[in-house]
Amino acid sequence: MLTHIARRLLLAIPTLLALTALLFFSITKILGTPASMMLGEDASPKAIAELNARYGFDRPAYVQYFDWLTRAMTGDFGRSYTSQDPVGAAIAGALPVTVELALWAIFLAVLAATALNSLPNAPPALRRLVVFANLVGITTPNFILGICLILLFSVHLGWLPTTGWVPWSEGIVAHLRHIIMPVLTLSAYYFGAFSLVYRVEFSDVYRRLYIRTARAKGLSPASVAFKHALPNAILPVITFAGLSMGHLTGGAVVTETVFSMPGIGRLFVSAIAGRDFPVMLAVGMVVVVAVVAMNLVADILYTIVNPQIRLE
Amino acid sequence: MTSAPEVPADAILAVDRLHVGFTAQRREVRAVSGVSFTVGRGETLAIVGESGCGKSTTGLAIMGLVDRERGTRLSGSIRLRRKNGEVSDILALDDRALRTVRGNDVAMIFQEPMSSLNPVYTIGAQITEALGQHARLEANAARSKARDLLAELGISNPDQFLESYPHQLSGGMRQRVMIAIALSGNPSLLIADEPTTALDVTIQAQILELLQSIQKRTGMSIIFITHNLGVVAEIAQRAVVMYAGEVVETLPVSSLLGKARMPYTSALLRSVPRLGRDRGLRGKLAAIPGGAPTVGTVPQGCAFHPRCGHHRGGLCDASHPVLEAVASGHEARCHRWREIGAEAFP
Amino acid sequence: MRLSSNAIIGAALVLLACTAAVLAPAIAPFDPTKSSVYFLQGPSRQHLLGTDELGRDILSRVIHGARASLIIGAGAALLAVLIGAPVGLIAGYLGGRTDLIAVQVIDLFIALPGLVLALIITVMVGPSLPNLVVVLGFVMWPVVARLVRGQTLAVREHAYVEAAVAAGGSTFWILRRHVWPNIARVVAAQFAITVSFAIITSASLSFLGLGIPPPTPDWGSMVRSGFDYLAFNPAMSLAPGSAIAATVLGFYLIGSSVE
Repeated sequence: MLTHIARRLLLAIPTLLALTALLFFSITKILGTPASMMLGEDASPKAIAELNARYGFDRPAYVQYFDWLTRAMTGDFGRSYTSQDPVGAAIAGALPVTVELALWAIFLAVLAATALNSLPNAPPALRRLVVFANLVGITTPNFILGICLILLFSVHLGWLPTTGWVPWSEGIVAHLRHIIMPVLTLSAYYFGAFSLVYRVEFSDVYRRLYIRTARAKGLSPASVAFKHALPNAILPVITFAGLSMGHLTGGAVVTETVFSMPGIGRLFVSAIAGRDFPVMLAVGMVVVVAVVAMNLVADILYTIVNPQIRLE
Repeated sequence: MTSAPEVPADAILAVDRLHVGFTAQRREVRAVSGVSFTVGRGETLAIVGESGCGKSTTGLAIMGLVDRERGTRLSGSIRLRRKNGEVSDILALDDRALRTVRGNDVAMIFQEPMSSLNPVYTIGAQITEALGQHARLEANAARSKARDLLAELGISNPDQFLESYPHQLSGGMRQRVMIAIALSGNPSLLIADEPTTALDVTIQAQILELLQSIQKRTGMSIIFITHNLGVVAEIAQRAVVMYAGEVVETLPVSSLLGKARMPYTSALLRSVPRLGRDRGLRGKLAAIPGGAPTVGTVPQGCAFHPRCGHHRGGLCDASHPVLEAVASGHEARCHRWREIGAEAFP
Repeated sequence: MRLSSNAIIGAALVLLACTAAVLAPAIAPFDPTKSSVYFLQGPSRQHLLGTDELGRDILSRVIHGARASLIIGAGAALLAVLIGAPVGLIAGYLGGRTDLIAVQVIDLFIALPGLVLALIITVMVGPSLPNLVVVLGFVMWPVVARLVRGQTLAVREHAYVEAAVAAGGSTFWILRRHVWPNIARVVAAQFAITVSFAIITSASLSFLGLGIPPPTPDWGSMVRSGFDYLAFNPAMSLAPGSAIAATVLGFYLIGSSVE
C-alpha cells in the first residue's frame, strides 16, 4: 500500500507543475501585457516600456514563471494591481471561508445521500421523494437555488439574513445563520450526484452473494444494510467525492457571489473583472493545489479502506 | 407458530406440496411444483437434478430466503422441528420469526464460496458475527469459539486465519469458512447447495469427508443439493430426484444402483463418468439427448417424455403422471414404470 | 423504443424551449430590448411577468432568451461530442499506449475545475456567442471522451467484433460498422446530458457577468440583474431562473432516460 501511495504522491508533483505553468502562461501571455491595461489604451510606448522594466514584464516568459513560482511557494504572491495590498494576506483571509463552506457542503451531501439511500425497506413514497430531490439538485443551477432560498427564508419569512458573513469568533449562532443557506445551496448538486452513485452501487451490492450469506445467518435487514451493504457501496462514493472537488470550486465561486461571502471564489470573480493578474494567479494556484491534493486524498483514502488493495 | 404436528417423530423436516411460482413478463412460471419429502434426524438426503430443476429454489425456500415480492407465490408447507421441540411452518412465519430460524435451526452453505464472503471484513469478524447472532457471547469467548471451529475444520493456523480477508484465501478454505459460519449456530439441519461444484476434485473429497465427520459427531441432518450422482452415492442415504420443478423419484441410495424405476434417474446414472468400467458400454458417456426444459416451457403430460427412450405416444405426452409407490421408501413418477422394469446398472 | 414518462416530460420541456427560441419574434408580446418608463412593475395584464429595471417586458425577454441558451448549449455539446467521441472511440478501441496516454490527458482535464477554467478563458477571449460555444465545448469534451471510451472497451470484447477482426476488417471499418452503432445510443444520451450541463455552465458564467453582452436577452444575466431587485419583483430573477431550470431538466430527463 505504501508504494501505491508514494507513487501517487510522486505523480502529483509533475501534475502540479504542469498545471501551474499552464495557469501562469495562459493568464499572463494571452491576456496581453498588464502594462497597457494598467496605464490605459493610449499610454505612450515609453510609459509602457518603463512599467515593463519596473515590474519585470520584459523578461523571458519562463524566467517570469520561475520567479513567480519560487516566490509563491514562500507565500509571496505579490500585490494586487487594483488595491496594492499583498495578495497573500487577502488569500489567507479568504481561504478559511471557502474551505469551511466546501467542507460543510460535502459533509452534508455525503451524510444525506448515505442516510437516505441506504435505508432497508424504505417506503416507495420516500424513495420517489429522494429521486425527485436528486433531480432538482442536479439540474437546478446553484445560483437559482440560492436565490430561491433567499426569497423564501429571508425575503418572505425573514428568518435568515440574506447575505454577509459573521466569523465564528463573533457568535456561533449568527455564524450558523449566515452559513446555512450557502451550504444548502452548494451541497444540493452533490447530494443528487452522490445519491445517483449510491443507487447504482446498492443495486449492484444487493445482488452480491455475501448479502445472501448475511441473510442466511439470520441478520436483520438493518444489519444487512448497514453492516454488509453500506461498507461496500460507500467506497466508490468516497472516490467520487474526492474527484468532485474540482467541480466544487466552480460551485463555490457562484455560491459565494450569490451570498456575498468573503471567500476566495468571490475574490476570484472580482479579480477577473479587474484584470488583476496577481490575484487571479494566486487564486488559480490555490485552486489547482487544492484540487490535486483532494484527488490524492480521495485516492489514498480508497486504498486504506479497501482491504483488497491495502494488503497488496 | 405451531401447527398440527405432521412431522414424524424421527424426522426433522417435512415438506408438503411445496409450490414456488415467479411472475416473469406477466406469466407465472413454476420453479417448484408440488414437492414433498421428509428429512430424518441425522440423515443425509440428496436432492438431485440438472440445473434449473428447482432444487436450489427448494433449498432457499426451506431457509425462507425466497424473496416474497412482486409476484412470487409460495404455497404448501415446510414444517420444521425446532431445536426447542416446537414445530413451525416456515412458510407461515414472518421475517422476524424467520431470523430466529436462519443460522440457528437451519443453516445453508452455497455453491460459490468465492463471492459468498464480504470482502471488507476479516474472516474472524464474519464468523464471530454468526456466533453472536444466536448466542450471547462476549468478544473473547466468541473469538476462541471461532478458533475452535476452524481447527475442527482442519485449518492448521486458525489465529492467522481469523485475521485474513476473503480475497487472501483459496476456494477450499473459503468453503470451510462458510461451513464454520453455518455451524456456529449449532443447526440441526444443514442445507448444502452444490458446495463442492466449484472446487477441485481433491478439495471436494476433503469437504465431503468433513461434512460426514461433523454429522457423525453432532447428529445434524444434511440436505445435499447436487447434480452429481457420484457425490450422492458417497454421502447420502436417500435421494430425491427432481425434474422440471417436480419430484420424479424418491429412493434409498442403495436402490440407485440397479433399482431406479423412473427413466430420468436411470439416464442420469448412465451419464455419470466412471473410470475403469467394463467394455460393455464401450466407455462412452451416454448424455441425455435434448435439454432440460427451461422454467416456463414444460412439456405437456410427463415433463420428461421428449427426451425419454421409453416414451409412448398417446400416454406420456397426454397425461401427467403422479407419484406411485414402488416399494417401501421408494416412489416414482412414471406411467410405465412397471413395464419398463428396473434397468440394471452395469 | 418504449418512451418512459421521464423522457416524455423532458421532450415536452425541450420542445417548449425550442418553440420559444424559434418563434420568439412571433410569440413575444413586446420587443425585448425596448425600454420604457414603466420600470420594476409587478405582474399585470399587460406585462404578465412585470417589467425589469429598464422597463422592458420580462416575459418577452425570457422568450427571446431561449435562443442564446439553446444555441450555446447545443453548440457546446456538439463540439464536445465531435471532439470527445472520436478520442474516446480510438482510445478505447486501440488500447495499449494510445489508450494510456489518452486516459492521462482525459483525467487531467476532468480534474480541472470546469467553471473556473471557463471563467479564465472567457475573460481572455471575450464573451461572444461563438467564443462561449468553443470554451464550453472545450471544457466538456473530456467527460464525453471518458464515457465513449468506457463503452467502446465494453463493446470491443464482444464476439462480433472478434469475428469482424478475424474476417480481416480494417480498424476504421470495424469502428464504423460494428462499434459505433452499438454506442451511438449512449453517445446520443450523453449529448443531451451535455447540453443540460452546458446550459447550466453558460448561465453561471452569465450570472457572474461573463455572458452575452447586452442588450441581447440572456437568462443568466437576467437573473443577475433581477437579484438586486428581489424584494420588488422576484419575477425578474425567478422567471429566467425557472426557464433555465426547466430547459436543463428537459435535456437531462431525455438523456438519462435512454438506458
